Amino acid sequence: MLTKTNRVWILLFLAPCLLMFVVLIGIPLVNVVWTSFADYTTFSKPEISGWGNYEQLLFHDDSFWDAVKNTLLWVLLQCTVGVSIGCAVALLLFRKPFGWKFFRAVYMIPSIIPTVASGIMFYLLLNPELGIVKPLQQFLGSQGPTLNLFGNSSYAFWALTLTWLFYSAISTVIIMAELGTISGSLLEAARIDGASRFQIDLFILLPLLRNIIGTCVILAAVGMITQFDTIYVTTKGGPGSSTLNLSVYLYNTATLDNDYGLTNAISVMQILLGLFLVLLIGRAFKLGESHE
Amino acid sequence: MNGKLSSGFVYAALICIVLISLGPIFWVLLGSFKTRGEIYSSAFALPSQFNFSNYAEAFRLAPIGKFFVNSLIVCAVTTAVNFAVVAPFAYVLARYHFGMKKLIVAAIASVMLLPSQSLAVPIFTLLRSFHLLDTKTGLILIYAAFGIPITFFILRSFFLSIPKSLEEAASIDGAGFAVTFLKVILPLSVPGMVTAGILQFLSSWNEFFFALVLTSGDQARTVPIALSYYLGTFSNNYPALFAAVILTILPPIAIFVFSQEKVVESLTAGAVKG
Repeated sequence: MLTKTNRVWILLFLAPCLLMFVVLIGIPLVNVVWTSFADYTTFSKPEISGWGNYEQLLFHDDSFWDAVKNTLLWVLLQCTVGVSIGCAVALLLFRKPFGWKFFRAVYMIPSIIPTVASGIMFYLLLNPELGIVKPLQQFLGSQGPTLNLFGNSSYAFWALTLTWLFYSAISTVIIMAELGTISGSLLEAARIDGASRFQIDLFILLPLLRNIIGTCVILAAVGMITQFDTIYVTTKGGPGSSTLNLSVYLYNTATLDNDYGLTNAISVMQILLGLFLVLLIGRAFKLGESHE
Repeated sequence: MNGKLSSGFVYAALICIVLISLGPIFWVLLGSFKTRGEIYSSAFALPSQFNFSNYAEAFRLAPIGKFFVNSLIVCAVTTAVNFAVVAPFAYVLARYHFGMKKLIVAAIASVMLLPSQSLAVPIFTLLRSFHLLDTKTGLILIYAAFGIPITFFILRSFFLSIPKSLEEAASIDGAGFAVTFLKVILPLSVPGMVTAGILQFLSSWNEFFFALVLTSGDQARTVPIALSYYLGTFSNNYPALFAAVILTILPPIAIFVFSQEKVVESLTAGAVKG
């Protein structure tokens, strides 16, 4: 089949995609890495300066470590609590209760609307002047001023966590797709042996889902490492650096401090953190054996 | 047996899901019909009457219609460009073997795990040097490029499922390489393309970070940026913000309501194929 004309066609078929991939992703990636070792601002060309940006980040920059800490804590919460909720919903819907498709659709809606929109919804919902916090406080008999959840460094982190922790519909649909491939006779056999539905969930289905839950955990981790939209429209990383994560910090460093060298050092740290977590999760779930 | 108890538990949990998922949206929807006074006085009350003045205000304060058109153009063209580039590529990688193939596939897969924001500075300077900042073309190129991995894996697995005998038959009938692809393979791949297309369209519609970084004027700004526009420029105009949020979430919800199964399939495929 590999005639000469075919070879030409194959090259023509490959070239546009490879070109786009290399120019818009490959070259920028290389650029990020080398300019992270450079003095480089909005107004100057990059000049190699060694490890300076990394020294600055690792040893003289509390905000960076706050951002790392917050990012990791959010990753941990989403990978454990978030994925568990998604998994529990999947097992619940897999029992095929009446109207399960409707409930699946309802649960998915928050995950398909723009994250900026859901961020603003929570911003309004928890707004001290017009949100639900004031009436709830009054109902509970509190006399003090209305709590500004996004504006208070003790609550802002958890207020943000609430805006995404429960919404794991991506995990739910992925796990449900996997559940659909499990043979019914296995469940039938367990039922005949007297297992309750809950025991089936816990001892038969969950162990079979190990691989796919591993995938969900990786997706949750990547999603949290790249979380930007909701933080940007609610707290912008504040108050202080109580809700700063790496994405917001690199955005601030580029746009407020105009320091591109430092921004790219943060970017490299973000990429490395992502790689490290993916490898760690992959190992923890023994992924890769049955994966492609 | 404990059937009744457990189905009671199941429905209690399902009601919680509905409250958590739709509660905030429903609250914002009600707010969008309230008057300014009602919004500030009673967070839990129903609007006294349905008035659309907040929507009118939203359209008056910002060129939201323009942003909608921008978003539609960006999403549609992104999806088209993404397919035009990725479909032939995925076809060749599904059918032929060559030296660098494994490396190419690994590179594409690893981009799925790359935090896209980390490329913000070089992408910004790259587009600036091509004078593509603040243009729809710039956004489209970036979205189409970052959409390569997902579309690639979905289409490749679809092409792999098409029997080779079809191409052999076409070749015996005298069809060349490109004709076989366009006339035989692509028409059979429509379901796979719909799956990938929905995902590409939704993710472009929802994208915020690069829209924020790469655009600055009304010519290229998309709908998610419009929302932060209300928040920054008219920080006191919350009633219009309620309406603007509803306008922004309607298109994805509409796509979802009309093609629930397809969207579920897209999300699953997009996540698992990699």
